[in-house]
Amino acid sequence: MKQYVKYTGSSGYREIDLSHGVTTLALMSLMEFVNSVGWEVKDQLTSYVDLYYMNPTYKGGSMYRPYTCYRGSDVIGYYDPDFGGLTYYGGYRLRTATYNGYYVEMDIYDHPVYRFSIDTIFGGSAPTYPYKLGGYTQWNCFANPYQLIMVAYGTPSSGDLSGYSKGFLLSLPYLPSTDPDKLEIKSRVDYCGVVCGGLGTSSYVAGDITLHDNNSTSRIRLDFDTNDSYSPVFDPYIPSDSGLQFPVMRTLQDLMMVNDAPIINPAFISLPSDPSNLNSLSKVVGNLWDAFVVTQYIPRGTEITLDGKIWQCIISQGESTLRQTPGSIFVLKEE
Amino acid sequence: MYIPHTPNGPKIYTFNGGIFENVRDTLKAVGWEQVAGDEPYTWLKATSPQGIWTKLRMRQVNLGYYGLNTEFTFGNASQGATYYVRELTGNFQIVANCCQFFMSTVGVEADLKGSTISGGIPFIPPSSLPYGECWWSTGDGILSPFYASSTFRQALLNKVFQAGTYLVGRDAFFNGVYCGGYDTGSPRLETFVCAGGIDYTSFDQLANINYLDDSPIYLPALISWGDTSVEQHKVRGLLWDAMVGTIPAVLDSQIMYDTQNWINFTHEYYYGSLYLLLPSIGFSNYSY
Repeated sequence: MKQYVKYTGSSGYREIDLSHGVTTLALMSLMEFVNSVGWEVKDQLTSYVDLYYMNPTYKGGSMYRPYTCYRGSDVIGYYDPDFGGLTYYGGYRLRTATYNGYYVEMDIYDHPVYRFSIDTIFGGSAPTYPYKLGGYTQWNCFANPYQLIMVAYGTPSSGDLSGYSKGFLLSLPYLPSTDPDKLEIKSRVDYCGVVCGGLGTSSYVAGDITLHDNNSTSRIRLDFDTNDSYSPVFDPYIPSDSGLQFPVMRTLQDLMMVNDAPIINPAFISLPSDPSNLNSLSKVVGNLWDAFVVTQYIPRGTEITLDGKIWQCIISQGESTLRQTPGSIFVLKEE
Repeated sequence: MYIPHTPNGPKIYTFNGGIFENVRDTLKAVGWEQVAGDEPYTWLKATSPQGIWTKLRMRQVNLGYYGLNTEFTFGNASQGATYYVRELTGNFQIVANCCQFFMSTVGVEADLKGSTISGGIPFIPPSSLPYGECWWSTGDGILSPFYASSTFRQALLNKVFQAGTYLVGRDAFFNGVYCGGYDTGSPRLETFVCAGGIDYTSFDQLANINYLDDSPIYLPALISWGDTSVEQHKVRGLLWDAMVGTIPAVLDSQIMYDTQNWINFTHEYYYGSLYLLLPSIGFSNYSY
């Protein structure tokens, strides 16, 4: 399996219970969980809004319903669910372990409208790329020092984003250029962070994690010339086709061996070669950690034992109009 | 990446004419055994390290208008397609091991003289092992030495039958079932694709896939075919001493990968290239 899976050696699994709504306990549970596999808790977001006051107004003949946000008796901002604005309600700032000199941070908090929410932060810049995950009763969470995957298995509670936000993926992918064995062809990607799933913005429904054409946010840093001449590729926000993809083979149906077992492939992560051009060819930047792809449609949630470990299917995709092989991604649940 | 290696490795040999003798002698040199069979054919038997075997039937034949040819047919019962290579002077090349061989003309992709033939026994995962005979073959010159086919010299994936010039000269035999090579289920080598290049429209809008610096991804040479020529492909196993790179490359170009030398058998095929292991220099023996 080491031929296909890039193991971190420190992965974990936890079910986050939101059956009573998004609570401090759920956020705390996620914080404790990622911390236990190597993430750092950078901050408790204490400057929360503690009161929202709805204040409907007319602007240009249209009704707007902005919220006035208070901390104590102080007005600290305004929030409009249609147009964004101040969103923090409470939570934690969490940071992945450092990989190849870089990390990704995320703020997790309880949003007054979209409930369980995550803002991702690439390379220490300001929080951006909000992901609204909604109020499902249970999130299954898989984490390792460089990665967090959350998949909803519960039922959506009222007022959430049911049908749209069933998955969330954040990863600093394994980069072949960091392989100490020097056995693989080197891709000169210096840094890469990718995020997909959830709800991309307050006005755009992003959706689930899929094998192909994910809504994805990525920040990559490349070196195409020499080791000391970096050509950084900035942070594309790609809420459309040709986002993050997991390459597979080319058959209309499951690609099986004669013993009816699928082929196991590495979980390659590919992104558009030109972040500003959604139609540009996809290129592999690295691998998902503690994961592999099989060439068969397997129902989400299926668990298998392989290499003495328990794996759970988190994503599966059937027939493709482009004639790609159906596929499923398995991630490590239990060492 | 797992690549099955034959115990004694491959040999590469180039020759100018004398196709019958040179192919026969090269195969015997890498472990194929000459066995008895019906005259006037020469029969060679290959047995893989897993105990799977096949036979190759060869002879020289004068086809009148087409001149002197060497005829190749795989299968214990000669159930495979028959390929013809014209006995012309040319810079022929064969890469062979105890399980398979690839013969071609150096620098030529699809030769109307019928210059490319390859075939052999795949490595088969132990849980899928058939008992006895298993083989695959591809070749130009099917039916006539003037036909060029869609061999692995030309493409990893199989093309549908195109009347006239490019027949799908591919077939295989597994566990007693023959898969003829004239349709969608014929043998092919698997490679990775991606939907990313939606501005690439020549082939189902699918693109090949490689690393951001355009270096290829290498994967084992997974060979698949359907139970019949029109059924869904199943992966039967891996080619020995071989791998697939996911980008096009010039035929017969050589690379070094994993401290070994490899030669590309496939010419400028968009979805990838078949790399064959070349013999090692041999200096590693000094470490023992």
